[in-house]
This record gives sequence, C-alpha cells and structure tokens, in this order.
Amino acid sequence: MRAAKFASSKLHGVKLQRTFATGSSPLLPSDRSLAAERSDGLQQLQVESAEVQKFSQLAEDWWNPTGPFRPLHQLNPVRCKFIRAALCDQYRLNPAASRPLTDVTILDVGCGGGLLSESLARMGARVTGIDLSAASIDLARAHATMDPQIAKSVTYQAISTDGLAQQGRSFDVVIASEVIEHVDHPPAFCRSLADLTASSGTVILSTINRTVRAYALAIVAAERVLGILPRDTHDWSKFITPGQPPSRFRQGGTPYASGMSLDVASGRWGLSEDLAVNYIACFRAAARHAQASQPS
Amino acid sequence: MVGTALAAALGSNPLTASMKIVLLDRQSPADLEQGLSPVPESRNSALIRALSRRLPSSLTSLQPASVQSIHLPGYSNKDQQGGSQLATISLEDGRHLRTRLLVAADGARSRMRSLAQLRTVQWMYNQRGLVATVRTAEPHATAWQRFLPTGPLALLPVRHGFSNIVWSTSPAQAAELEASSPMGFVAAVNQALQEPSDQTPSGLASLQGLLQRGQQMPQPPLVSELAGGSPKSFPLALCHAGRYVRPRFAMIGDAAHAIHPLAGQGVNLGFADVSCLAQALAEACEAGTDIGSLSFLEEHYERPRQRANVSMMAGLDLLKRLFTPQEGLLANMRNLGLDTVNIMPAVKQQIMKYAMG
Repeated sequence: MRAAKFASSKLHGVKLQRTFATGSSPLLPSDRSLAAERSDGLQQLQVESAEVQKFSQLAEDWWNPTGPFRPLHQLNPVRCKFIRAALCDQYRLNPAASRPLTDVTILDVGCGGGLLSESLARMGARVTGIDLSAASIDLARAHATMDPQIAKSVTYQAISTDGLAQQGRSFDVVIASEVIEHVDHPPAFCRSLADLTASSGTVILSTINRTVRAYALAIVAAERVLGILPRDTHDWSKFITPGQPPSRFRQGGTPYASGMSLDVASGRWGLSEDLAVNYIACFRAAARHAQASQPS
Repeated sequence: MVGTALAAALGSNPLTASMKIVLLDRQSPADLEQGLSPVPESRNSALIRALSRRLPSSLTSLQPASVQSIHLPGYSNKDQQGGSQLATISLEDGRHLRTRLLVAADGARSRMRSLAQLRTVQWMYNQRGLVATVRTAEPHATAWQRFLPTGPLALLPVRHGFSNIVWSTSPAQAAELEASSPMGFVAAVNQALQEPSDQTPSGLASLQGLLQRGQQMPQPPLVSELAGGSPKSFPLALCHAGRYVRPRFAMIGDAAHAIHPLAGQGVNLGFADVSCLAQALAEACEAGTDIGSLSFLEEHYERPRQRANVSMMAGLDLLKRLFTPQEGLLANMRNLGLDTVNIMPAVKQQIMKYAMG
C-alpha cells in the first residue's frame, strides 16, 4: 500500500513516453550463461552475455540525450556532483577548484558509452573505462576523440574486472555506477572491484536499492508504465541494499551515502536522504590481508 | 558590454575562473570607449571599465579582430554521435580558434547570429529611436519619461549635469529633429517635456483630482543645450531569436532579443542573460558537463531566459500599445491607473525592483 501511494504521488501529471522499440524479447532464464570456472577454482565473474547484448544493441544511442539512455543523462550531473564532493572530502581536495581531481586515477566499471568517464575527466581525473560490450567501447572511444582534452585523459578497454585485475592494475578510485544490478554474482563482483582498488582507495557504487518500493517504482513505473527505461532493464533479484556492505569494504562515513531521486514531472534528479530507491555510496577499501576465498 | 560582463562573471566564480576565455571584438578597447558617448565618464564607459577590472587572469583579449567565418557542429543526432566536435572560428587575419562554447554578444544586428543561421521574429514599430546627449539647466537625478502622442520621450540623467535623451517618435518627426539646429532641437525637447496635457472628462477628472491632492508632482528640468554630436536615430523594432542556442553556440543580450527602449530594460535583460549563463557554466564545471552540449544549454540557459525575456517583451509591447492612445476611455483609465499606483509606495517598490532585475 505504501509503495503504491508513493508511486502515485510521483506519477501524477506525467506524460507517457515509449522510448524503446516494442520488439525486444524479455530475458528468459534459459538465456543466461553460466559463470565459468577459473583453473585456480575461483569463480570467474561473468556478466551474463544476454545482459551485455541488451546494451550492445543500444550502443549507438548512448549519447542521445533523448534516447533510451535518457535517465542516465538526467542522472549524470547529480551522481558526478556526489562523486566530486565525496572524493574532495576523502582526499582533502579543493571542491571549488575547476579541476579538483587532477592526478586521481579512476576506474569506471561498466562505462558504456563513456558518459561518466568523460565527466570525471573534465574534473581533471585520469580515467580508465571498461565494459564488456565491445560496441559500447568502440563508441566511447570515437566520442572521446572529439575533444582533445578528453582524448588525453580517458582510455577504454573491452575487458572484465577480473581480466583487468589479472593485469595487475590498480586505481585510486573504482566506480561501478548503475552496474551492479546487472551482474549475476554481486558479492564476487564486489570482490573484483576491491582487487582493483589501491590500498585505502575508494569504491563508489550507485545502484537501485532492493526494497518493495524500489521494485514498484523503478521496475513497474519506470519500465512498464512510463516507458522511461527499456523494458526488462532491471531484474529485482539483483538489487543490493546499502545494509549489505560487501565484505571487503567498510563504509567511508555518513556523508558518503546519498539517495538519488527523480521527480518524474520535471525530469530532474536530485540528491536526497531517501535511500530507499536509487542510491549512491562511497566505501573505503579495507587494507589488504591474507585472502580468504569464501564469497561474502 | 554584455560580453565583457559575462567574462567578468566567470572570473569572479572560482569554479569558472580558470576557464580559457578569449574575448573578441571588432573594435579596439580605446575605440569602444570613445565611440560610446561624448560625456566624460559616461554610464557605459564607466561600466566597461569596472567590468574590465574583474576579468579573469586566464582571459585573452583579441581586440581588434574580425571573424571571417565559423563552423559549428550540426543538430542532427548523427552529428551529435560524432561528438559535438569543437566549434571553429576563422579570423580575417588567418588565425583559427577552436572552442567548446562560442557566445555571441554582438548586439541587435548580430553577425554571429546570421553566421550561426539562427532566425529571428521581427516586427517594426513604425517608429524611430532618436538619441542625443544634452545638458540641463540644473543637475538632476531623476529619470523622466513622457508619453506623447507619437511615442515616449525619456530624459535620463548621467553625471555632471549631462543627460541622455531617448525619444521614440514617428519617422517624420525623427527626420525633422535630426535636421534641426541645436537650439531648435533643445526647444523641441523642452516643449515636449513641459507642455501641459489635455483635459480629461469631468467625471474622471474629479477622481484624478482626489488622487493627486497633496501629491506634489515635480516638473522635469529644463534642457539648456545639446552636447556632443547631433541627434541620431535608428528604426525601432522588436526582434527576438526563435532559438538562443545551438550545439557549441549561445547568444546573450541584444543579439538574442532587441526591445523597445520605452522602459530602459534592454541592457538589464542582457545582464540577466549573463547572470543565468554564468551560473549555468559554473554548475556544468561542478558536474563535469560538456558546456557546449545542446541539451545543457537548452535546459539551463535558453528555456529560463526565453521565458523571462518573452514575458518582459510582451509586457513592454502591451505598455506601448496602452500608452499610444491619447484620448478616449482607455487613455483615461490608464491615467487613472497610473495615478493610483503613484500613491501606493509598496506597489511602486515592487515595480522598481522588477525593473532593476
């Protein structure tokens, strides 16, 4: 009841829009690929190929602000402001400077067309963007060449987090924004994020919270009723809650978690105290200990 | 002037203070100050000097420099895919500049606007605006405006006993005034400002008498001589650009909207544009947004400014039409309305606040 009441107050007065072709097929269990086993017994994290395909098909539209990725375009300024504030606070940087993240290395996991990567590069960061969709990476590279300053500051690779970790790479900040809800094994995914983070570095996650309200609002409302997101973008069972801190992380402190909410009528996102639907949170990577290989 | 104001606004915000800015003008700074007014320390030159002191240190000034051509990315999604290539400006001296945002602040007959192929809606008012600088018998500090049958005549104080005249009138009268001798012009201005108005019908007159009782209506000062050059006139039109922005391009000030001078709002609207755009650019810096992206410019600059400017322009247009008739019921109701507002200080304050931005 409560979820319905909340949903209706946000839905009032909204124009319905179809933003996705109705010919797409829903995700069926049989489409999911199994996670492969690595020779040393650790389960290799593999985002389902069908999930990746969903995004590859839309790759051309990444940079269209009125296309199927419109909510991400609308969300981007808010999540960037949060990231900027959190990192400036964390690393004692000057938030009023024009490029406060100069010399900070950032990994953008699930970078897609490079929406977040480019914004972070504009703030001075040296960004590496990775995605399993080769089509998205190609598009991201092409887009980055348009601005010489961006081209110097961002590199893209079509690779998984495990693949990158195997190369021995590590970053000051690892960001997985609007990704974890598409991943098959969130705990293992979080482990791989921690592997890529420098000691006492930072991991930032933004995702949809797993509550009934999130389900009602995000999936039902956004996908089915409003057509804001392409249908079947989100699968409820994959949402994680901020109350489940992945074992390798500890929370960086109260200012570092924030809700993000969409006022559907005006199309504007804002930071809010309501963590119940979308949220973004910043975690300090724990110092390295001898590794236990149990999933958390 | 609005271009310099934008550069100064960006310089005063730490978020935007280290942006690489180039200020281009066809005239050199000395020519700019000289050409504006014969009055020493005139309003405009004082403003420009004050603004110039606040320019960011990262600013490069190319004055004089003439633009030969510009290249802006297209609107279509396909072009947006390729990027939002940077904009290119080719100068007549052979230099090329690339930029993430080209801001046009080159006035009502904006050349940048036509190079960017942005169209305007225009209508002519069948009036000309005549401008001149005069000295008054006594220095004064009140801006006067009298609505004559042919249009409003404004006497605007500057400094040291100088005032500017802005007289919106018929093309025929404008030609006559431009051709008159300096003393003839002064006599015409004094007659227009001082001559008592016609009688109103008795019923309304007694009501007006009631409202005006105890209100000492001062008289405008006498003009003593014409200063500087002879009066010049220009055609009055309302001109509004359908779009203020396109990818990598934005217009501020008269380049985007030219209005009737009757309320002295033209440059105020321009300064409001500057304030809005400077704020938007600071937010873009904070969020890492591409400052030349069309959706950003539309949402944070064009939409709010078009809304504000169009309502102001509609209001002014309405005022102009309201003040044109000299007799009849509309004229009498209007005069009564003004007298009513005159005795209500709270309402007057609100109006003044709005007009001053």
